[in-house]
Amino acid sequence: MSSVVREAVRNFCIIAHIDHGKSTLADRFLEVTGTVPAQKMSEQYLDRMELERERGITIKAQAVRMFWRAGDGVEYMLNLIDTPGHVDFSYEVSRSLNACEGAILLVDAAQGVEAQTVGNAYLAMEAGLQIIPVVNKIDLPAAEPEKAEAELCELLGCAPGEVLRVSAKTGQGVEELLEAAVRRIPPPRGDEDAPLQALIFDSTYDLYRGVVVFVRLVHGRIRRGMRASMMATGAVSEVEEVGIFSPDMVPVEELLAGQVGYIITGIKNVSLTKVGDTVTDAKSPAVEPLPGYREPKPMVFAGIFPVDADDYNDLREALERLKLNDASLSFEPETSKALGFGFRCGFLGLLHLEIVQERLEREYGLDLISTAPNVVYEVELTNGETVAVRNPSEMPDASRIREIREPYIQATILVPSAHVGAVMELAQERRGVFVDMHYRVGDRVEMRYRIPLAEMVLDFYDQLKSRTRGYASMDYEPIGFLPGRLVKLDILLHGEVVDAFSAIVERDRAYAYGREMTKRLRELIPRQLFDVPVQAAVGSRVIARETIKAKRKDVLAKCYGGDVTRKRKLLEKQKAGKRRMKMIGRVEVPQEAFVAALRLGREGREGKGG
Amino acid sequence: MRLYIHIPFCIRKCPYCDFVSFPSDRDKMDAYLRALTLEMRLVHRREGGGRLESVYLGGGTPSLYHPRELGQLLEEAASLWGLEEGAEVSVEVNPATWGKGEFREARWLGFNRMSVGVQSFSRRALEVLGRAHGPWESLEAVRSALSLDGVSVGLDLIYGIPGQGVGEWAETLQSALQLRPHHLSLYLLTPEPGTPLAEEVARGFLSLPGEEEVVAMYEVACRMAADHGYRHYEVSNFALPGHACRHNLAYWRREGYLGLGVAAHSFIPPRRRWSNPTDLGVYLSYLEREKLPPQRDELLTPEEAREEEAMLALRTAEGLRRSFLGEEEGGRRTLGWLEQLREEGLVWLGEDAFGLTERGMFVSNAVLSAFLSG
Repeated sequence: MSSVVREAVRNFCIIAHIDHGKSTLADRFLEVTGTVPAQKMSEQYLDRMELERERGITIKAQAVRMFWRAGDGVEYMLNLIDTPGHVDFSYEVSRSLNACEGAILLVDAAQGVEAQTVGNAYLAMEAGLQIIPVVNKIDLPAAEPEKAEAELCELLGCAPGEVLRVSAKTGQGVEELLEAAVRRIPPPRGDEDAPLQALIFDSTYDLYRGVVVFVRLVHGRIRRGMRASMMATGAVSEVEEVGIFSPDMVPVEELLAGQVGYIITGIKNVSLTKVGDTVTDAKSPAVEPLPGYREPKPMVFAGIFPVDADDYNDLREALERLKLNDASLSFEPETSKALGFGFRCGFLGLLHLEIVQERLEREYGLDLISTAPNVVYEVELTNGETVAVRNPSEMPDASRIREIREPYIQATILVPSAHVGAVMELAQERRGVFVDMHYRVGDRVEMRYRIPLAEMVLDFYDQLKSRTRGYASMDYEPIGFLPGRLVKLDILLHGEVVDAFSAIVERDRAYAYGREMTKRLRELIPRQLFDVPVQAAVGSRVIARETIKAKRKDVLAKCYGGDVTRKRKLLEKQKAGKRRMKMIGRVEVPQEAFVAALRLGREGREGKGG
Repeated sequence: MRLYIHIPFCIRKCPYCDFVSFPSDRDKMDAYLRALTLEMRLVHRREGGGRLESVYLGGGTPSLYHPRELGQLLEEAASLWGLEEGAEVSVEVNPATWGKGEFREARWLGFNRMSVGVQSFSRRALEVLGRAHGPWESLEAVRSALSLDGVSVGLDLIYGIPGQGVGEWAETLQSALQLRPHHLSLYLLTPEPGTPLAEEVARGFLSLPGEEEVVAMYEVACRMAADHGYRHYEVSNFALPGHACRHNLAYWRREGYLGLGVAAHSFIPPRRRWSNPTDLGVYLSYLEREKLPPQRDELLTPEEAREEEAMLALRTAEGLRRSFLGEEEGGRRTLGWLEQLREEGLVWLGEDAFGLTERGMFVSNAVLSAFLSG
């Protein structure tokens, strides 16, 4: 296989909006190229793998190798590379794209071009990929291929003749598409005899085999037995296996410059094989790594706590296992007066947080509470010292603070000109600072804003999507810390600070947030045997107050001989309910109230903060 | 020993009642009386027990039977166990059933405590409650009972009735207190799941007074009863000195009793409880074959027995023994918690016992469930 000359290699990905037929097309490729025989072809082969990957039982097929004898009689090696699809993972997307020379831009003939397609198409163009526009689902009765074609031409600035039409479902046009891929996408450049430089575009942890690293070789070659070194992390290990996906894992002798595949080394921890890093030969290393590596940095933090304190160890084990597979996840133990023992976890973004929490709950059967997510703050103290605050409850006393700085990002937003106003409005609401604006291909406008990451973390992306009817796409990068008018807001229950509810908010919004939170807690916390004041305070200044009035009636009127058992069982039920209660000072708060308040807290700051 | 005899027949089913009861069919009632007599013998043979300190005929509506018929039951019990000197012998009476003569006969046959189910002196309230009697019949019945020597007379009243305000309730109370009965049971109407009342409330056809209103009714009742010299000796019970219901106190003190009849419960301290079937047909058919009906047995764990003790004792003004708390860490913590509740005016703490104040009694569920979960 490695006898294939570099000129006969094509590395490409498929860019498509969800449901536009990416998986079906990939399946058709597998079938048409004979990679998977038609009789073994189950529906959506690659998708099935993805589901299994989610359950952690099979290694994901990030890059499938196929062979295809094209019309010119040459047998080509086609490497189809998968890409993630959310802004939280835009860095990962860009690494995947960097492993390709071409991209198939797939659009549903009935739906036309959609925002996600646009965003990723721009990323692909910026990565210098050859783009092949394709209209899919032309067999559908509602198909309007001409319209979709026109949209594609406008988006890419291409001629209508360049757009292909296929039905991934029936297979119509698929061979022509492969022909076009072979003809239009350039072969990879690179020098097999130069020192090894291989881009890590993903890695995963397999229970039985350890870390599997997905690589695109730019220069040199990699073979079993050699010692490989990761240039950014410095990890060195023997290469135990070199292979490709076909689509199952198949070991090969070696991978050459321009090819895509996997390597397995003695490394047992994905945090040593980071996406974007460069693999080189430890014996004769490359002079420098490939450009563009970025240390995966958690941007968003949240406390995650087991609802049942007995699950603490299970939660720790589950996090450790997830971490094996997810280098960007970080966690450290945290103790909360309100929520007990748990972990403060760092994530790339909200989606990442949600994915991790969902996997913990679904795959590990844990019942969890997470605190409102927050960013890291840089706090300069009056004594000149600077501390990083990852948890609002760790914020030093206001009297010791000279300045609180918060992380900012620079967001690049692409949007049709009709929606420029909506984006400006949103950016302004979210404390965005305008940088500049350019007109791009077609009717698109590129706008750049500096926005506090905290705003981004909440729901900026979702709001952007909804206010531009899905047409805007966005990428962002951190640009450092800037001072903000920020205060720490505490919520007090019967005079005790509830650490889980402490938040760092913009000074002007503290009042609204405090009022909202106290009101909601009054509604959520069941009445106690005494009046319970609920207060929001900035430092020692109370800015909002509600009172949960004491319960005055809770009685069984009758209890005579026959009722004793029944009444005792009633009482036992009430008692069992108390196990899910947390004591905040003297106040009993049901777990559900925390969950609901934290959920509302998130919404409150999003929707009503301004 | 103590005896409870359940009479499951009613003139009609009250819409708020979830006790086991059946329409008053004369043949069934005759068969039931025979069955009870037989059950009494069989239970006595099996359980034995000392002379009876109290007998309580409850229901349902025991007064659907003629006093003579109830007298036969009492006589049978006395011949099996023997009656303690001064034993308390209670019967529940519906005002729509017995006249003066029946009350007198009941006294003569040995009933010395009569509890009259007045429920309200408001015609409107009685209609909502679906009662078969009016205020006037209640007055007559209570007066008849009160005219008898050596009889302790109790009134049952209900508050928190749909449409009832504090004013109407105070009037009913006033009427009751003017009669000067020995005992008052004041029950907060609670829509039990599955009853027509609960359904009407759920569907919005009836609405119960709100919490503030109900709390005000409770407070008015406590105050008026106290002003008239009644002691508030249990969550819902008030009595002139010396007239607390000894039979019921025995329940709350976890003393033993045998229950006879459909759905009747029995308890032999410290841990044995059992109950009869709730189906009248099943009950009768076993006894027709001279067999005890199949009972549901329950053996309490020591922990459950402890919970019961607290749950029952804390309903009463006597309260729970201090030694219940224990000396170790948990007990000290609970004591600290009780002291906080004392500051809130919900709990009293004595040398040997502690308990709930009147305000505390009205939130006893909340106090108890917190107390028992430590």
